[in-house]
Amino acid sequence: MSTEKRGHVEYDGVAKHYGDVTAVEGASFEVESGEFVALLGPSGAGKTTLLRILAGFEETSEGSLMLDGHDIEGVPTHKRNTGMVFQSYALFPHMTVAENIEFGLKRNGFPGDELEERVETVLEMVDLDGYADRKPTNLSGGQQQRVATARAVAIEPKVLLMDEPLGALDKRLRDRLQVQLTDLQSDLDITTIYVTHNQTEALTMADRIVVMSEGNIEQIGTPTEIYDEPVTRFVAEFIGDANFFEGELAADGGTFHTEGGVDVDVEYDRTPAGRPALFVRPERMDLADAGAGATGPKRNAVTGTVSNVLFVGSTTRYYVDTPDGDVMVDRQNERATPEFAEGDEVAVTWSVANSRVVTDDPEDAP
Amino acid sequence: MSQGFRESVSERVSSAISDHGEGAFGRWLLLAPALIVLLALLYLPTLFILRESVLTDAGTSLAYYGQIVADAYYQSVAVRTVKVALVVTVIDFALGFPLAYAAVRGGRLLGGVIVIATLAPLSVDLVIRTYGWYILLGRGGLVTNVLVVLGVGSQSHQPQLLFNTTGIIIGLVQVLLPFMVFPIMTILHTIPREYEEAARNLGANRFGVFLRILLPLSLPGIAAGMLLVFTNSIAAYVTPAILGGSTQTLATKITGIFTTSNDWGLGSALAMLLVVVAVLVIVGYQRAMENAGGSVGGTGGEH
Repeated sequence: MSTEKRGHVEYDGVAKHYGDVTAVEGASFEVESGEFVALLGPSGAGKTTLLRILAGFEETSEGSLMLDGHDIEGVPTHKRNTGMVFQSYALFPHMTVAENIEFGLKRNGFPGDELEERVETVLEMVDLDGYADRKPTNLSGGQQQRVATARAVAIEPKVLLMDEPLGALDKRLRDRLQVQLTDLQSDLDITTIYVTHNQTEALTMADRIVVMSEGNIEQIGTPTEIYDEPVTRFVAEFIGDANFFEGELAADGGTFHTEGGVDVDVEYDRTPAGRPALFVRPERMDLADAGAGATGPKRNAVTGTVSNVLFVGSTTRYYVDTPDGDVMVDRQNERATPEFAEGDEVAVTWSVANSRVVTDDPEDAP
Repeated sequence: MSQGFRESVSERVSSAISDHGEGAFGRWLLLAPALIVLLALLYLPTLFILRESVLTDAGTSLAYYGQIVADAYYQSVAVRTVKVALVVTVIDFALGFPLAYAAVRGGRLLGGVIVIATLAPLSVDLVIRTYGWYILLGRGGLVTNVLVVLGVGSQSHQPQLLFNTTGIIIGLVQVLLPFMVFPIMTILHTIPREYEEAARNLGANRFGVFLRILLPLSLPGIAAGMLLVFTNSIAAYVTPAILGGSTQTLATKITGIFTTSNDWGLGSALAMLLVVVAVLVIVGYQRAMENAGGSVGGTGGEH
């Protein structure tokens, strides 16, 4: 309705305790107006709690929560103007699709003579025009999901809150709805906080990702930052496949001595607070003949024996048995036959840029 | 000998049930024991009362019913009975719904306390419980004294809570409260908390959530509770007899007519009136449930 920027959210040291149990520990981050932020983490990470606190279903134990510059602690749930989409959809079973949507409209000051038109508009947005008079129980899971989304955005909330909205759907439907939801979100330019445990969903949909683990924020960043430059071992492991090398980081941050006795060139400009490990993504590694040696840009190398070859389709995954344990290497299938076979002695090579030092402490962020 | 006979009977019955269990015969067979009990102890006596109510010295006639309809006193008793039942039903709903809601949503401890507190009085005999109220509500009783302290009435003019409809209502409200709480609790358990959260999120305040979400979704349970409280209330005897004093309801009046004036015809006619009111309410309830599309109907269906 209004053109002014709205939907700016700021969590400042928000904590939530249930008795002795800590659900969230001092979470601080901001969500810009119109931004799509995913809260990503395994179950029990505290993501849903952060969402529910913003919606007003839970109270904060510590810290403050600002919406458009106002502390919303004292604002009752029904006056917060957030639009929540539940994993179970929570469509009212005794009301039609239209009545479900009107329920919110009537309570958010939409004039009576515009209700019908508004219902039609939002149903068109989610490709469900013509479904207004159906009861939720007569809709498929995907249709119910879209009605729940339509109901939430219909009231033009300051923030759209989605709690595992696609969690109950099968993969094909989920993939399709991911695209629809991101389109809808950018069309409406609506601030969105999206809770998910599905890393692919977070990577494909979000502008920024807040990775959480056991009530703590591990890292905040864009999908590429989170994927390419994880700060902690948890983030590296949770998002995508990861090879880790245990060992010691040299004091100057230029070399990592692996336990297997290999010196790897790295670039680490801080003194780590946590225990460091070397991390390389499988698709950033390559294979070479063992004798060839590693030079040039891909000068980091460990040698080993190919223990397994898995043809995945577009790529082939090699498991290489090295002194530092099994290493996964993904290679694009540009040729029909694999160049390496089980039992081959190979050198696993990668560049300095793809050698990242991660620790077990989120404080080690640059 | 008898052992073998019992075994052969039980074998025949179970084979009959497994052979016919799915069919109409099997269903009737399973219902038979309950139906026989009801027939012998409820329907036959009711028919007997019906016969008494229409048998007069002048042969079969509706004279007794005419007598009741023409008599302003009986009318006032009937009206009072229904009025008391309605008030009790409304108060029990007003008390019972929040209790049931708190029991379902209020966490394990609170829920347990409410369930036990609601159930516990049922383990005390009705007469004893009612005499408890007799003591509490009488002159100089705890309730009256508290009311006087709070400024309702004075020591010399204590509020009259006994031997009138107020006393009957207070007693029945307490006695019948569990019948309201449990059906509502049962249905509230089936309503996900997220419906309420979604409604609040969409801008509804607590009253709006109650009115538009909880009330419609728990209607079958509420109706069942109201039906139980209302029917039990119009038929209640012990509570009005002890707390009502000379204030009569249909049940106490009927008993009085049978035991003191020995006028079986008139008493039976009044009793049939009570049956008719109860049946009308039950039929109305079932109609409403069918219209609402719910397949409830079970509760109180066989009165």
